Amino acid sequence: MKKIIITPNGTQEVDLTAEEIEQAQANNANAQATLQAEATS
Amino acid sequence: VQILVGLQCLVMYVKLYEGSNLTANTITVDGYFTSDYDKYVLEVIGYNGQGSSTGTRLSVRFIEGGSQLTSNYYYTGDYHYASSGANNWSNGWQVSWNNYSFIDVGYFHDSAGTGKKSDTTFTFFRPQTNKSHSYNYASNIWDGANTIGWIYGAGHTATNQLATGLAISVYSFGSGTLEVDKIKLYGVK
Repeated sequence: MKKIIITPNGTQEVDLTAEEIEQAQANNANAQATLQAEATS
Repeated sequence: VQILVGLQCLVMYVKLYEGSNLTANTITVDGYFTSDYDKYVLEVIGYNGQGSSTGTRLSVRFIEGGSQLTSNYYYTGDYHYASSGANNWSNGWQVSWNNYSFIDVGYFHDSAGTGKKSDTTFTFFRPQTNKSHSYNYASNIWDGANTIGWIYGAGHTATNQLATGLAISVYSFGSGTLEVDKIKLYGVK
């Protein structure tokens, strides 16, 4: 997974760190629970 | 004198950044907020996503000192309309609110690569002050088939912070991919 960093000094495209990937994957679980709750409400 | 008075009444948008064809999990726009402007307008034009659940919605966070503000400080309400076929909403006008660790901009369709796009304009007020910040947004969404919607949202951060920038990602800053045709950031005089 990539991250694009835009600043007044320019634009960089970098890979997410292992920690950031882990956090993103953890966020998926919360996301799916919320979206399923919306779908059934 | 009349010309000077007229000029003082003009609202001037100063373009600070414009980029195109951006594809990533997260896009950060950082270092543009200064005390020169009380209001910033961010246009996210032509976007969609990939991801089983997370690729269906847009999320935004403030950046403070190089790090995203990730606590549940974003108190956001929205008023939205979805037509038949919207996966996550009932039909008709709806009101919702939440306090998440991101601004939940709302539904768009997971239709990456199909050319079916959504568009959102955000306004952020005084991010470069060490206070709670308010924001609002308006979105047009369409999946190219039977899902069409409008979203109008607004909110505040529930903590004092001096924001330096913004981070944009898929729903909940999960592991999907966001594709954006164009991003433009303006300072408003």
